[in-house]
Amino acid sequence: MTTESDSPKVPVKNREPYQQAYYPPVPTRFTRYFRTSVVWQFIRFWIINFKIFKLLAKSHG
Amino acid sequence: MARILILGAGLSGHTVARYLSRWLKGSAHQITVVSPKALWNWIPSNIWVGVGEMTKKQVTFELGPVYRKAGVDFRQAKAISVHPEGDGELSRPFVTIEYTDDQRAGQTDKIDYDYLVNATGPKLNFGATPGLGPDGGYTVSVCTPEHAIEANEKLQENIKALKQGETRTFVVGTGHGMCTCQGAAFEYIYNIDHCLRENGVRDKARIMWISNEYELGDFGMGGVHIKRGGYMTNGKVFAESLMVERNMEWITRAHVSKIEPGKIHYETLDGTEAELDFDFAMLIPPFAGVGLKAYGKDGSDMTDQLFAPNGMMKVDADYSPKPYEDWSKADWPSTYQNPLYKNIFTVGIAFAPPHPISKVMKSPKGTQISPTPPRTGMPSAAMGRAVAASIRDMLNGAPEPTHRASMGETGAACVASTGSDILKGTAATMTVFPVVPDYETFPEYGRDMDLTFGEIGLAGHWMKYILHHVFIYQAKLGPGWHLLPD
Ligand SMILES: Cc1cc2nc3c(=O)[nH]c(=O)nc-3n(C[C@H](O)[C@H](O)[C@H](O)COP(=O)(O)OP(=O)(O)OC[C@H]3O[C@@H](n4cnc5c(N)ncnc54)[C@H](O)[C@@H]3O)c2cc1C
Repeated sequence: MTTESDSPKVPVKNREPYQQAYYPPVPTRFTRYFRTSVVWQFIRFWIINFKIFKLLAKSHG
Repeated sequence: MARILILGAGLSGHTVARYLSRWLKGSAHQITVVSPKALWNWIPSNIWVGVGEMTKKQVTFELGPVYRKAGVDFRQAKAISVHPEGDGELSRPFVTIEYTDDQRAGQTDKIDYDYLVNATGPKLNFGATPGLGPDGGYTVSVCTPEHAIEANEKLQENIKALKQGETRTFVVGTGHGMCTCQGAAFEYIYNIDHCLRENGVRDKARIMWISNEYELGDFGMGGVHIKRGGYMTNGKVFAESLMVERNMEWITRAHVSKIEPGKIHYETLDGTEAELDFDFAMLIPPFAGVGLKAYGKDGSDMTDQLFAPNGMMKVDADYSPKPYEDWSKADWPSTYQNPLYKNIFTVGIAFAPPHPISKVMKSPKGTQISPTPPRTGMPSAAMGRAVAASIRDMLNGAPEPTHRASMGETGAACVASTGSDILKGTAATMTVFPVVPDYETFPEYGRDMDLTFGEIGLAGHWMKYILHHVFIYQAKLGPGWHLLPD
C-alpha cells in the first residue's frame, strides 16, 4: 500500500493549524508496516476469523 | 401441500429460498421465487467492478439453473400487488406479478400462497434528489453491476485526464439527507484512492467525502465505540484517521439537495447552503420500498395498512413514535411477521424499521439530515434464516414463529476493502454487536465491547476476497453450502 507520505509532495508550506487533518491520529511507519506484514497479518487473519465466528454464533443463537 | 411464495432473490430472499428448499426437500410443499432479474448478484463486490478490478460475470450468476436444481419454481417477474384475502375471482391470498423475461415481458399473472415472504430490498430512489444518479442525472452509482460498470468507465476517463496532467475532484458519499448504506460509499472512496495511486496520479486528484452522518463513522448505527491503543475510542477517530492518512477531505451533516453538471448543492445541519464542484461523483441514493400495493377482497386499496409511508412493509415492530431517549431494542422486530396477516413475513431492507438508530437531526429549515437504519448483509441473512425456520416449523404445526433475529440481538460484520492486492492490499474490518444499541445489557456503550471491534490490514483484504468466493459458492448451492456461515 502506498500512503500519502510516499506520494509526491507539492512545495512545502506551513500547514494551516486547526484544520480537519490536524486532529485525527495518523498511523506511524511502524503501524503501517504491521498492516501489511504477511506474518503478522496471517496471525491476525485467524484471530479476526475467530472473533467473527463468535459474533455469528451469538447472532444465530 | 402448502405454497411458499418469496418475493425477491437478493441476499435475504435467496437465503429464505436456500434453507426452505433444503428443509422441505421431499415434502409436497412448493416454493416459488419471484424476482425481476435473471442474475443473482454478490452486491459487496460491485465495489471492485466500479474500479475495474472485477467483471460483471465475476459478481453474478444465473438463478434459473440453481433453482431448478433446488426444486424451486422461479418466475423472472416483479411483484406488483399483494391481495392477502384474495379477490372476487380467487378466494386464496395471492400476489400479482409482471414477467420481465424475454418471452413473457409485460404479461401479468396471479400467484397464490399460503406463506408470503417479502424480500424485495430497496428501491434506489434517485428521484429524491434532482440530478442524482446515472439515469438522467450527473452522478454514478455502484449499487448494481451495470451501474458499477458505468462508474468504472467514467473513473477511467478521469484517470486518463489526470495522466495528461489535468487535475480532478472526486466526490463520494451520500446523495440525500436520509440515505443509509454509507459503508458502500466508504469502501468505494478508498478503492478510488488506491486506483489513483496505482496509476501514479493521486497527487493531481482531490478526493472528498460528503455524507449525512453527524460525524464520520456513524454508518447509520449512531456510531460505534471500539478498543484502540489502550483507550475506548469512537469510530469517528478510526474513520477520520483513515481519511487523513490518505489525504482525503470530508463534509459531514450534509443533505445533497440538487446536482447540476459538475456542481453539488448541499445544505448542512447548521443551515449553511453551499456548493461543491466535482468531476466525478458517486453518491448513494436514499432507499424506499419498491412500491408494492395491497388490496382487500373487494378491491379496496389497503396499502397503508400493510406498508409504512416509505413503502416498506410493517412487521412485528413497535411503530409508535417516541423520543430518542425512549428508543429501545424492544422496538425492533424479531420474527418479521406482519401484524395483520400472520402468513406474511418481510426480511432484509424491505421491512419498515420502527425508527432510525442514529439520532434524528434537522436543519433550521426542517430538513432531516441523519442516516436511516442500515440492514446490511449479515443481519439480512440472519433474518432470512430465522423466517425460513419459522415457516418450516409452522408448516409442521407450530402456532406462531419459532425463530427470532432482532437487530437488537444480532451483530453485523463489514469488511470494507481499502485497496485490492494479495500482498499489499488492506481492508477495514468492522464488527458491531448488537446492531441496535442495547443499553440495558451493555449500559456504557450499548454494545458488547468484546464483539465490537475495528482494525485495518491485509488480513481484512484476504477475508474480503475469500468471502466473495465463499458467498457465491454458497448462493450457487455448492455441495455442503449449508455448513458455511451466512
Ligand atoms: C455497493 C454496495 C456494497 C455493499 N457492501 C456490503 C458489505 O460489504 N457488507 C454487507 O453486509 N452489506 C453490504 N451491502 C448491503 C447489502 O447489499 C444489503 O444489505 C443486502 O443486499 C440487503 O438484502 P435484501 O435481500 O434486503 O435486498 P437485495 O439484496 O437488494 O435483494 C432484493 C431483491 O428483490 C428484487 N426485487 C426488487 N423489486 C422486486 C419486486 N417488485 N418483486 C420481486 N422482487 C423484486 C431485486 O431484484 C433483488 O433480487 C452493500 C450494498 C451496496 C449497494
